Amino acid sequence: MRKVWLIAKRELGYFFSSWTGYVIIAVSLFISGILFNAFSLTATPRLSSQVLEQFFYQSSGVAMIAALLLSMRLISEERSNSTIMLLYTSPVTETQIVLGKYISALIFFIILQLISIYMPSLIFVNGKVSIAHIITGYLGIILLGSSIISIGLFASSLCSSQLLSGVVGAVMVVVFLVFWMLSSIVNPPFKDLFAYLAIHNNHFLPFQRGVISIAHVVFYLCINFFFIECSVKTLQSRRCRG
Amino acid sequence: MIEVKNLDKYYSSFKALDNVNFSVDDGQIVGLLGLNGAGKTSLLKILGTLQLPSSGQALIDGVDVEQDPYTARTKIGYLTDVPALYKEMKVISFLRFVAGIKNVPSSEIDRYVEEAMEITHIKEVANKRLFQLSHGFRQRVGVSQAILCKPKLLILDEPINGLDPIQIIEMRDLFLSLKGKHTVLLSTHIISEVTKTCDRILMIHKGKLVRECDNVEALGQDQIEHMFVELVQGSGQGEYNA
Repeated sequence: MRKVWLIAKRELGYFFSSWTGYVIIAVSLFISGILFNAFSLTATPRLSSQVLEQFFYQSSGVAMIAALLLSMRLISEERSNSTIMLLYTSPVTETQIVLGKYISALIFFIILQLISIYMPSLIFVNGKVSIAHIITGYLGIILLGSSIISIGLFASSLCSSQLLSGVVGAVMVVVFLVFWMLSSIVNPPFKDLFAYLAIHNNHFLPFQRGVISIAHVVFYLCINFFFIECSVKTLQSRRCRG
Repeated sequence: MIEVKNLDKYYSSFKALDNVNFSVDDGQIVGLLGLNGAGKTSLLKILGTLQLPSSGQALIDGVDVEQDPYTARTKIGYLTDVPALYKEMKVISFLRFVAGIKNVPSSEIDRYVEEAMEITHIKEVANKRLFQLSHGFRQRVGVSQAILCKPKLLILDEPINGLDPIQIIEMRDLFLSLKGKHTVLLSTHIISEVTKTCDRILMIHKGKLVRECDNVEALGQDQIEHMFVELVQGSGQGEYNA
């Protein structure tokens, strides 16, 4: 675990010592702020919980893009700069490399979400919402974001170019997003399968409404586990091929 | 220290290493001499656990690099012509990170880093970021990270590429100072370098180990140069020892 933490700490240091991390934070907050102002704080009277739901709905989109941007460079940059050689020739396993990278992006993502808490807090100025609803919404965003990070990490393990890994990751995420549309036009058993795999519509919306369901939590954890494992296997197979 | 038996390496149908056999004793500085594309880097990558052999066996201090790469990595320090460095980090932070991932106990990290910086004369740049350093200093930091955990075997792949004459002399002195403390496998295509630095030379051509010279000092640079040219031009091909 010490090595996982060392790799994660170094990676976090990169986010904070380069412009990348600050730009992602600034752009995410800027877009979330505009969307919050335009769509959540409208002149039409609404229930506070509806405003909060709307906020989480918009934030989930921004969070997915941020998670993808955070993860697309994690391994591909190591490969393009040849710094992966240092890790490969050290007594570090592929699992430790992948977990270290994943944890760093996840911590950064959580920090980004914590900074955005001021937006739902504004609802308390003229309304009243449950703290549990806020916590549940953020839990959903973090679970969704962590899944996107694991998908992006896998894409990053496949490509040497950051841009290419970003494109591959985005395509994979889009596929998971449109599963809910596909589920409405295909026949069983694919209908149920596609509906289940819809990463946002099927599994995030309950969190947005303030409902925690173990089934959805398990789904996101499984996505994380699956793509982390795929990333590990990709790194291992690359060593075999040389 | 090193034992290589019947080693082959294929890239698709291209045979990069063809039945390579040799062994290296503890404490020797051994030069791997060959033209560009001769198979030097493939051989070093296998010994460095960066690639797997297609067939055959490579042992480092009795550990099979294919069967137990993790243990093999605890016994090696690896340096390439472009050292694997995280350029946004300060030299001292980078070396502490490397010490951590190379199993140096936490309580010993400062001492190990201090010693490595002392040997490679980089104390004056300890607090500079790596991107601020010249190529020569970066190469020294590369050597520093390679020797940091006091590995039994140092693998140096074209370490003097891109250095100016003064830096080459400094680097040569540095390698000579490592004699006795580590077994060094030095790959280069520059004949004068191996004759000035190494106890023994392995000549590799088109993936085959074509000649071994044990008495480098007695033979002298001119004779070694002559042998190498003969081998490369085809008139002296065959496996025999000097």
